[in-house]
Amino acid sequence: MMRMDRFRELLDAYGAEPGRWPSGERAAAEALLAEKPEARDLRGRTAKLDAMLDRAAPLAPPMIDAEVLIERVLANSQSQVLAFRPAKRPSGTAFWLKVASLAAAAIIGFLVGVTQLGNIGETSTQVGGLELADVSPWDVSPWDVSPWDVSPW
Amino acid sequence: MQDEPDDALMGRAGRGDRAAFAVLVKRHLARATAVAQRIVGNRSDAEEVVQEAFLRCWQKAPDWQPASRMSGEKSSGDRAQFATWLYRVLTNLCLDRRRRPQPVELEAAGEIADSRDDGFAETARGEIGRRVAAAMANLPDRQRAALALCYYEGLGNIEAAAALDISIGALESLLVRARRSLRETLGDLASNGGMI
Repeated sequence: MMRMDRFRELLDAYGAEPGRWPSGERAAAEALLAEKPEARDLRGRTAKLDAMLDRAAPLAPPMIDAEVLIERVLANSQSQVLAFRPAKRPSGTAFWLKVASLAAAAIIGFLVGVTQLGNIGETSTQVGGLELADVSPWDVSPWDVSPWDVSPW
Repeated sequence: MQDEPDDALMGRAGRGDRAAFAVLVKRHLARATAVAQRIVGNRSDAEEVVQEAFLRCWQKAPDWQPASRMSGEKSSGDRAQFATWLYRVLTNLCLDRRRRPQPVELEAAGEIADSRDDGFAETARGEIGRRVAAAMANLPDRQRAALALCYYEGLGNIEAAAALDISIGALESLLVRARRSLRETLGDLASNGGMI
């Protein structure tokens, strides 16, 4: 038969309801309960604390919608996979296309620069036929001069 | 699929079966949410923690081993096996969340716990319920976790001890201290209402 001090420990830890007692000790505890008035008295006092704890339960139903949570988890998982996935190396064709594009851009830039070099002296003081010294930002409304009216050349 | 054990569903989820994962989530969501609310004490943190726990579940699924092949687990069956793992992850996440610096002073913790959108206070009924909720909120985190798992959510002592990663003796010690503390804190209710 279970000792009274162990029975007291069970009550102190798990409460008065036999269903909460460890299954391996339940039968022995219930036998003690049936036999000893002292055990019943202890259980009665424990049940009062249980009744008080039960006033804080039950909780409201889950506030998370299961479908929403599942979508979030799967989306989150996917984004983490993408975040940690190493960048793919470009294929051979894509690589050479990028190289050719960069080379073409460099050549065009060089040619434009060379052809405009000789005009620097002529256009440095005039833009679109206007004397720079005559143009104040306070005199010209941005609506008066359209960027399309003023040639950069 | 609704009747399949957790292990089988985890196996399917590990092969990318989202429907199997959905069954697992729906099966465990209510209890997981209740546990999280009772440990962290507020809805928003509980929601984040539960989502994180199920994210880890999905990520773990490809490597999931059936109960008989997993070592070091204290479990009585396949279903308990998965539940034990899930509640261990969940409890750790909750305790981590509680260890973060709290934006309130300790002296005000009881009042704040009582007035926030709180897992305890919102369901408490009447003055006794609010007092119990506040007393629960002021318990040390691991004591509250032990009480939440064992008393409120009805996990067996083996599962609860595994969730907290402690021995059954240590679990009982946490439970005894928690209940003793509550009995002392709520002692005046006993004298007024003869509850204890």
